[in-house]
Amino acid sequence: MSRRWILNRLGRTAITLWLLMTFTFVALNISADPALQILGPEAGPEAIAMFRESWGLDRPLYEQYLLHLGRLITLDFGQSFRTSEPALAMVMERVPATLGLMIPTALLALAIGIPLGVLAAIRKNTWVDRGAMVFAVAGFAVPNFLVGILLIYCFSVRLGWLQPAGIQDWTSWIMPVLTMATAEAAVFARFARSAMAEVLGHPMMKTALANGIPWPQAVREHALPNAAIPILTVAGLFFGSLIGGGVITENVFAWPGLGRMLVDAVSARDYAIVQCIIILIGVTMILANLLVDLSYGWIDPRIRDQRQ
Amino acid sequence: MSRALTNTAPSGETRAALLQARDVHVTFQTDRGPVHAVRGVDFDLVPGEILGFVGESGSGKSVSCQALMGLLPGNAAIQGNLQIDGRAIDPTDSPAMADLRGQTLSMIFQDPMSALDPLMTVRGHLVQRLTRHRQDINDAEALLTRAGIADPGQVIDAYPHQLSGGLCQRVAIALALTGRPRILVADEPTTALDVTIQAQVLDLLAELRARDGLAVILISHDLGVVAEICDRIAVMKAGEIVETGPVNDVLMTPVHPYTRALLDARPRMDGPTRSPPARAAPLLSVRDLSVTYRTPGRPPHRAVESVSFDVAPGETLGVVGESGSGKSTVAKRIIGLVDGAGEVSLGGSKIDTPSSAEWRCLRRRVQYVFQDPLGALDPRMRVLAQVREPLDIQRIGNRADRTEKAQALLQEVGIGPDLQNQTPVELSGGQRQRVLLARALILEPELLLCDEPVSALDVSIQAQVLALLDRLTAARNLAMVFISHDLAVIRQVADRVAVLYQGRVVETGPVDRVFAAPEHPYTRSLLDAVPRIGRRRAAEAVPS
Repeated sequence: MSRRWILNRLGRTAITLWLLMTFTFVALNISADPALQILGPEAGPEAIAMFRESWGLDRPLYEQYLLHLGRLITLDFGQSFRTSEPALAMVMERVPATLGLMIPTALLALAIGIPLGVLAAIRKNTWVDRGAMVFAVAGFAVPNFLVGILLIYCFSVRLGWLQPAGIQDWTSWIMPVLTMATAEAAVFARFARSAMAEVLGHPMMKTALANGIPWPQAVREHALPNAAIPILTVAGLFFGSLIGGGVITENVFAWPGLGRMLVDAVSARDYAIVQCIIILIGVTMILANLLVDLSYGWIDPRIRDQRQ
Repeated sequence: MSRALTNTAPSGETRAALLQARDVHVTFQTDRGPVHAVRGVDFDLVPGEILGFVGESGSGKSVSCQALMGLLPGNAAIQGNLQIDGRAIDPTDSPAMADLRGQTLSMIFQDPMSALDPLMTVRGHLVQRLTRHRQDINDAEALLTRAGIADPGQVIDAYPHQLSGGLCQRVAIALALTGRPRILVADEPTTALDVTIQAQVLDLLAELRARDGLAVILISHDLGVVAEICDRIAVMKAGEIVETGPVNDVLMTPVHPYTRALLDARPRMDGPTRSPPARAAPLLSVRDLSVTYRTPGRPPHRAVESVSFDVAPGETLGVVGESGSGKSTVAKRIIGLVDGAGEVSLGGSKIDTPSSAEWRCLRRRVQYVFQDPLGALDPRMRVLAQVREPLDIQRIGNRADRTEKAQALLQEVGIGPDLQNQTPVELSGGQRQRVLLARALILEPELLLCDEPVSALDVSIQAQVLALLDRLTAARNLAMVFISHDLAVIRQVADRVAVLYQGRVVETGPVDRVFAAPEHPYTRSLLDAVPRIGRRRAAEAVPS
């Protein structure tokens, strides 16, 4: 990987970050007076004046913008309007719960989706393929909240086997993880199938066979690595959305994670928290993309050569 | 109609057949019912023999050989009797075939680049195959040498994309040889290669036959290729072998009318050339054209350097050269699809930096015909509408007139009313190329730029399209720049020829003179490399 490529990539990352920070500034200023927006119509004039001063809202717009950028760059996300605690600390407190939910979800989704898609491609146009694709379509056609509610109804309300909300013990993970993993596995299965089907039709497969390589070995050593790039792209997008991905599911299962915090903060107009979560989601997305990009070069020598 | 099936090696002695095929049928089960692709094929192959299969696309030559290899998809049913060394083989018996492939039979394909795994080095491929065939993995470099790679140390750790097409095909041959097979099936192994590289690969096949007694089945649409290295050939048409015999007998004194038709359709290196029109003031004048491609992070690539030529009305200039010689870039520069230095004049007026309005007018006078008609046409738009479209864009006449004009022109190029309402995907390659020509001619241009317009076509269809072009250029006094890698085609259609080598014109002159007495060494090497009927290539001897 050449230095030029790395610099270029870092430059693009910086631009994306800047756009994200600008977006949060615009979002704050665009609709109405942020002070009124945040404090609410019932706030008194002194409170508003104080708020304006503490947030620098009495200064010219460009100055406010520079201040805004400066604060974000120094990781000063302000304080929660409700608790007066630093927003960043409050948000970071919730990260483990969300990651604890999303990482098993991601692993399960990959473990189900990729083999299913690969199998469907290898057994194309058989009942295995059709069955897998019916599952895939159903998986992302049925909304998460519906799956979640159905699971709660079956396993908590009717059978009484599982706790419907919050974290008690390891069984608390079963329903939320299943809810999200089925939907994600469906996406992976579809992508894995189309990537694999394309690679299986590549002339290199026929050449390997003609040279005496058995079909399973050709699939393992040629088809799977070549199908990895498109699959990796979707997996990267999913990992990027890990932090913010479970908003609905977290709410259905009253999970003490970022998703629920975001919904609470939006309805309470706790701007500092909302902004902090948005930036956090954006940063993870950017990092995941960067990792996916780096791994392209690691897998594919053609991409590696282009970056020289 | 077939001649006696001779099992005679070039030396004349009779040998036991290594491979025997009797009454082989292949039927594909499709949604539209069964397709009987191969209908009762018989052939023999003796050790050290090169057997050529010739025929046009869809004649069943590839399917026959893939049936033999056990490489056909699951919807193919194979009947008949196949024997290797007197033992019957069953191509549908996957485990048995997997053991035969690589060690008894091996195969190489048309596109050498895509035959290799882009993520694997040459060494990775070789080690994988050698391990499978329980051979010594230290032989990897020796195998590359055997496949004619002069510097195996340079190649072995490269990835496929870092190698040229010719090198990739040699690597594919080395891979095919890892299990020491006795039969190599080569399916159009040189079709994707330049003519000088093609000559090298054919030499290599002849050498492997002579040195190791390898028996080769060579599938090709090019009768010249087959004539140069095959001992016997089988001519296939519609799933049957219509004629078979020693190569010189079949090609010099063909018995079957189809063989004769194939031979007649082939552009010849010794046939009559066109009589050039009287010289007139040039219509197209190109002076000092240079094009440099710049890719960030790479040294600039001079694709075309100081190219100058004139084309008079009614004249055809053939531009010939190998891949990367800059011939397409010249055409793109003329029509303004790429930027570059130099001067282009049409009818005496410069067209270097025209405004967009001027371009629209210019494009009426200059039209472009691309190699891949399916890529150049909208695959799902009806052909009549596509041929009318340039008139719509130029706002010529009313809709009824335009439709009428498009219908008449399509009729003229041989696309009847029943085909005019179809979409390109429903047409054959030759029909699509005719549609593309009609689309280029509808604006009545003065100059036609044709970039490899017949390269993707079968020889009989190619002959039809070339005849059509000849008729149209004569009738309309059309000037043409005709780009091709195929010297025989250039010789047939062009009045004058420009030979491009590494972006420069190394030789130019009337076709008669350049082909009869080439001055530049590169032109001579190009002409030497063209496969010809009646000439034999390299080693003949078969070790006993």
